[in-house]
Amino acid sequence: MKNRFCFLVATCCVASSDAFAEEHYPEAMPGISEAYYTSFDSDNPHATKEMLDHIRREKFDLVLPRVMREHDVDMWIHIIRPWAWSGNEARQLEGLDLNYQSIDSTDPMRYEFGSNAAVIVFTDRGGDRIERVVFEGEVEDEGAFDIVHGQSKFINQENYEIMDYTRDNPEDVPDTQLGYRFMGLQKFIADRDPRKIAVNYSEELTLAEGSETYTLSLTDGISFADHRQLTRELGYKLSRRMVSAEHMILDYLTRSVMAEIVVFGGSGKPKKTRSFEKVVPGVTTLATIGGSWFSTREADHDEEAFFNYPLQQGDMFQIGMDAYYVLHDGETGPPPEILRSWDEMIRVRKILAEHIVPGLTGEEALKLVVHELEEAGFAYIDRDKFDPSIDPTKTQVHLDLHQVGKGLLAPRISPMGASWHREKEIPLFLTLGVEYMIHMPVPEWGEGRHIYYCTLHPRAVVTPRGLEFAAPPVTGIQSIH
Amino acid sequence: MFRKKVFLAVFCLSFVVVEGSAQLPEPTISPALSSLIRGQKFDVILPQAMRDNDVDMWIQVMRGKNPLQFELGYHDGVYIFSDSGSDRVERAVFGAPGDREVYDSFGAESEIGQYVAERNPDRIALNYAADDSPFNTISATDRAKIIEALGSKYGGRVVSARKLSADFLAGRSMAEIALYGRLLMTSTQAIEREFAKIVPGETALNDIDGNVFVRDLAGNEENNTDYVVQPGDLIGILLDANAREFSEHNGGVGYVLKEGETELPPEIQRIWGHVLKTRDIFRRNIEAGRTGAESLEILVEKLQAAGYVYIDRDQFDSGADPEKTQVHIDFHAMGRIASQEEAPRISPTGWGRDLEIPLYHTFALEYMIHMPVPEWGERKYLYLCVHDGVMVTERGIEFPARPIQEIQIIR
Repeated sequence: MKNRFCFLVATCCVASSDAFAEEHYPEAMPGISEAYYTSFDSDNPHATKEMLDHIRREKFDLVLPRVMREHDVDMWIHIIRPWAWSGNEARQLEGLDLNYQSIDSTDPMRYEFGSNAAVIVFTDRGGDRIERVVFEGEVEDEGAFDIVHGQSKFINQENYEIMDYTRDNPEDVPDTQLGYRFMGLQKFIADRDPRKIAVNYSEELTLAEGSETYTLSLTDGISFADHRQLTRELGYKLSRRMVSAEHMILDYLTRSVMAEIVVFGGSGKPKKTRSFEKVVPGVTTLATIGGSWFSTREADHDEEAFFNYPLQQGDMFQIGMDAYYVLHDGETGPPPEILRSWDEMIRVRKILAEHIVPGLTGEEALKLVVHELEEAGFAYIDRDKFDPSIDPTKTQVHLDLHQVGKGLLAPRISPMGASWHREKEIPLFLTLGVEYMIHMPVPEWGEGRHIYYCTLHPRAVVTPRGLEFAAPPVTGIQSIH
Repeated sequence: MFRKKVFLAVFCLSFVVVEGSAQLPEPTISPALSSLIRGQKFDVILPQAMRDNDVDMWIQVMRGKNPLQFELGYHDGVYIFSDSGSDRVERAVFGAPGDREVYDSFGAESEIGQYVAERNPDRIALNYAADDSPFNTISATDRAKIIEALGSKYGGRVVSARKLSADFLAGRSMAEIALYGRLLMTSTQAIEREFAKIVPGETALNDIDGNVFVRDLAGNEENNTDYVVQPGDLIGILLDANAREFSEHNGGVGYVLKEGETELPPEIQRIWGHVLKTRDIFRRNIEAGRTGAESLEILVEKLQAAGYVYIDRDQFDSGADPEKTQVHIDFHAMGRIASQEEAPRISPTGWGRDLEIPLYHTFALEYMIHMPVPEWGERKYLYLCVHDGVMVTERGIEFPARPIQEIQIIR
């Protein structure tokens, strides 16, 4: 529940700010924040088309050969189907003089390859470099590819050319119009004679379910119809070499190059401080000031019930990642209990930062971190809900650290989600949302009363040195007078 | 639930930061970012730097301006770091206030002797250098005071902190890398703006911001002078971008079309081809863990194997094979102003040649190409300087921001 709520916050931030950001930064990529580089900084002026083009080329140079060889794949065919995009995103952004067109696709590689309709073929022909061919379709950055055939003239089948072609080439007409995209592909592939051909269809992974973007689930890959067309075009010998590219796609997506870390690091601008001059304790509700949830809670706290509940002196609450405390008369800062909860949050952060490294699976990292938390005196809870049966001297911690920035949640250090989220190995430079929740009991306030803080998605990068934040996480609790 | 969505949307709309134009904002370092970088340097760079230098205590006496102020703190005082062998280096400040987020303990300078004795370090680095160095910052008086405070037992264990300081500054955290990338983008955009200002026959080099230079075919250079840009010129611009103690500079190249030309002439295209070819050689053959000198040796070998002549100074060698293009390289550190010189360097010159290139080192891929053009006459050549910001990772060289893409055409 909490998780869904967090996603909702992120999604709303995106939906509201993308178009706005575009208006002020025409170069910034529309929609990029929906699937990329987390959701909280969609006005990042450094997320330019040029930067995305650069990232794509860096990944082709540095990541592509590695993932293909690790998966023992010497050809990767990635099909992004035309006709499949709704136009919703394009309509929202209409008139903003965009310089980036590959929007409105739910393909997980739409930004990676810069296209929303194409047949892209990568071939490992030896050497350091992978051959990159747009067999059919259009791409944003043609310079990133070695060969770009362009869009088939038969993609739009409402034209006279297709009539002429079928009349003149009755022997070479595909069984269905879906097959026009693949015409000639067999020869192209046979010339390269790959041993193993990875194609973007899913066999195990529920990529759509694992999407971070609450309103924009990514696809599980090509349709059954496209799979059949491709199989037919390749013929018996070559089609038998096809395997699912799903794990390779995940590996490709989750390995960041340094240019991605630059964008992930945000704008570098200081955050604007909120003003709460109009907050009147006992009158102003959390909803009025756009708050997210109360942090000072009873054992059986029900956030829904508190939505229109007036803020009181002594309440702590969050707006997104930021934490606020409403001072009592005479107080000049938060009391020791509130400050202690913040210290607990920092202690957990340090434990996570020290122990999460590349090479562990999400599950291994989870076990390790839970062990370290318990050694440090915390109580781990596998759901984000205060457990009144646990020793009240212990702060309870729930974990849901997951990949952010690429539209997918895996790898994930969490008891939640599909098992493959946890089974995935953490790669070098994974961009990780360090999401965890602490529930710190305050017995002196009464049985079951506790302080809750949810970190949401501070942006860390996984390095062999541990977690390193690319942008500053929240630094403290702000007081409201 | 719907009501909640509406509220969230309203909140989000109200929270969007408004900016005025598509130009990248001036890079800044917020207090939160500054604190983050400082903490990361202590957490992930300092332990390794101290161990690499076989130092278990580092005493840095700070009085006035000091190249390590951003990392350690701006107050005069004595900063002491102790490595007890755990993952974390203990951090203490004496005689000054300090950032309580990153320092563990505070005390008076009179307590230093006792503090050191309690930790019993084997090797104590102190901020002096035997040779001229920006890290030679301790005064004679302060040095005498520290040695006295340490007593004869520990005073004899003091060594120079010069290399440790250089290693500490050269190490990069992820937040620094993100900042470095933003700075690179800023200067790239500024260079593009400067090229856009050029009007052949009107614009002088000193009308253009940055380090602006043109060389004629005999190698005579005009550098930021009142020389007016002419058709056929190959112009280099180097420009920096800064945010407090952080800085980088990179470069662009433009060609002024001659009358009748509509695109780059073959010779200019040829020299650009050498830019790409040599970039590829550099990219494939630099890795962390080697010293600058070792790296240089490998690069020279690779360049020669690819048919280039390596020159150890940025001057055309008229005695070299006229068929071969000559390449000079100076891959110096970038990122922190203080460590531009005192850092690992892949170059024929500089103290940093003997330093090991650490992982995530940020530096300039600065190289100069002198390409003979025999058809234009004996000893006639084109000159071009490339200056891109890069870093080294486990995968080799990466470009945190877009490197030079082409020779800009100036009409």
